[in-house]
Amino acid sequence: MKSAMKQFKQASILMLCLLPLSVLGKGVYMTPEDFLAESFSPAQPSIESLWLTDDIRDSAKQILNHAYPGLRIRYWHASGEGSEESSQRTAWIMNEVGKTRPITIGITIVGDQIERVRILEFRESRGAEVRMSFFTRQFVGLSLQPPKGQLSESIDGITGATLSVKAVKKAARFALYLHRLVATDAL
Amino acid sequence: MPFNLLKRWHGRIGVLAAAFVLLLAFTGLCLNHVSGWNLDTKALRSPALLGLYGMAETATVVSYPLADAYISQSNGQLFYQDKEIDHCDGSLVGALELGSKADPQIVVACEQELLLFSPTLQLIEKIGPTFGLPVAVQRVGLVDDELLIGNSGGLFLADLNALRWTAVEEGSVLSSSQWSEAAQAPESLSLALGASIDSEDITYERLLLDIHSGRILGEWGVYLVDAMAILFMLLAISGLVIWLRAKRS
Repeated sequence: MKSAMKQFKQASILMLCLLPLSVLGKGVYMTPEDFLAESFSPAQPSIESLWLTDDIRDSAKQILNHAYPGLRIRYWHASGEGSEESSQRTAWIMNEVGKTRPITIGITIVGDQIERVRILEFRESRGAEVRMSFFTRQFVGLSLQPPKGQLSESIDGITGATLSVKAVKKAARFALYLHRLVATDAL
Repeated sequence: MPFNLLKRWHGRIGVLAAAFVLLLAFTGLCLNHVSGWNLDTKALRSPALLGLYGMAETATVVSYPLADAYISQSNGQLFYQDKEIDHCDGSLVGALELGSKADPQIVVACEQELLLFSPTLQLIEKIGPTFGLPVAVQRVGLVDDELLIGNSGGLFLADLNALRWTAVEEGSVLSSSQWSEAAQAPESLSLALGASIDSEDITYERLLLDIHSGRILGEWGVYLVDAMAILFMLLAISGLVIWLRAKRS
C-alpha cells in the first residue's frame, strides 16, 4: 500500500510538472540585437528604409493576403565582397499574425536565398513549434520561384500550428520579394 | 482499502465530479468546432462576460489635442476623434505634428512605440525599441521643430528618418521645448470612446478555452481543474477496481 501511495505521489508530481507546458509557447526567444549580431557579425549593418509604392503594396497584398500595415519598411543591410547582387545581405524583422496575435520573425537573405529564419517573439498560446530549428531550417537556401513568386521548395507543416506555419511562410516570401527590390536598387 | 469504503468514496467523488464532467465535455465539444461555428471570430459583447476579463464597461479615456482635434486612447485602441486608427504598445503619452507644413507627419507616442502617420492618417510605420527608441517613453515634445522624447533616462532628440536618438541635457532644451500635454476631450467624445470595447482577443473561443482550463477563475481556477482531472483519474481507477471485484464475485 505504501509503495502504491509513493507511486501515486510521483505520478501526481509528474502530471503537475507537465501541465504548464501548454502555455510555454508564448515568449521572447531572441532579441532583435542578437538576431542582427548573428546575421551580420562581425560587420556592422546599416539600417535602411524602403517606401512602399502602390505596386509594392499590391504585391504585398498578394503575398500576405492582407494589406501591409504601413507605408515604409525598415531593413538592415550589409554588402559582402564585391558589389554583385549575390553578395547583398539583408535582414528583415516582420510581424505577421498567426491566428490573432503577431509573430515577430527575423529573416536574413543573402543573394536571393534565405540564410536563416528565426522566431524572435511568439505571442499566441498555440503553434509555437514554428520556433524550433526542425521547422525554420527548412527555409535555408530557398528563393522565390517565378512566375507566381512561391517558395522554391515546399515547407512541411506542423499539426496544430497551421496558421503559424502560414504566417512564417508568408513573411519569408515577402522578405525575399523585398530583398530582390532593394538588392537590385543597390547595384 | 475495504470494498465498501471504496464504493462509498467512488460515489462521493462521482457526484462531486459530475458537474465538472458536464462542463468540460460541453466546452470541449464547442472547442472542437470553433471554426465551423465561428466562435473564433465572434467577439464577446456582454458586459458581464467582459467583466470577467477586467474590462470595465466604461474605460478610462486619455486624450491629447492635435490641431483642432484629439488623439485618444481607450481600452488599448487609438482614436482620431471617434475614428479608430490603430493599436499601440503601452499607454498613450503624447501626440503632435512634425515636419514642414508642406509635408507634415503626425507622431503618436505610446510608452513602447511611436506611431508615425501621414496627414491623411495612413500609418507610415511603428518605431519601437528594435529601432533604438529609448523606452519607456514618458512624454514627447518639439524643440525647434525637432522631436524631443523624454524617458526616465533623460531627454533625446529624435530623427525619425535616420532613426537617430541623441541624448541632450535638460537645461539646453527645456526653455524652448513644447511638450504634448494631455487634455480633457469634449464630454460627448469621451463618453463615446469610453463605451468602445477592445474585443480584439476576447472571442467566444477564448472564453471557452478559459472555462475549459479554469483560467477564467485565475490561478486558482487552473488548480481547481487540475484537482478535478486527478479526481477523474481516481474515478476511472476505482470504477475499474469495483467492476473487476464485482465480476469476480
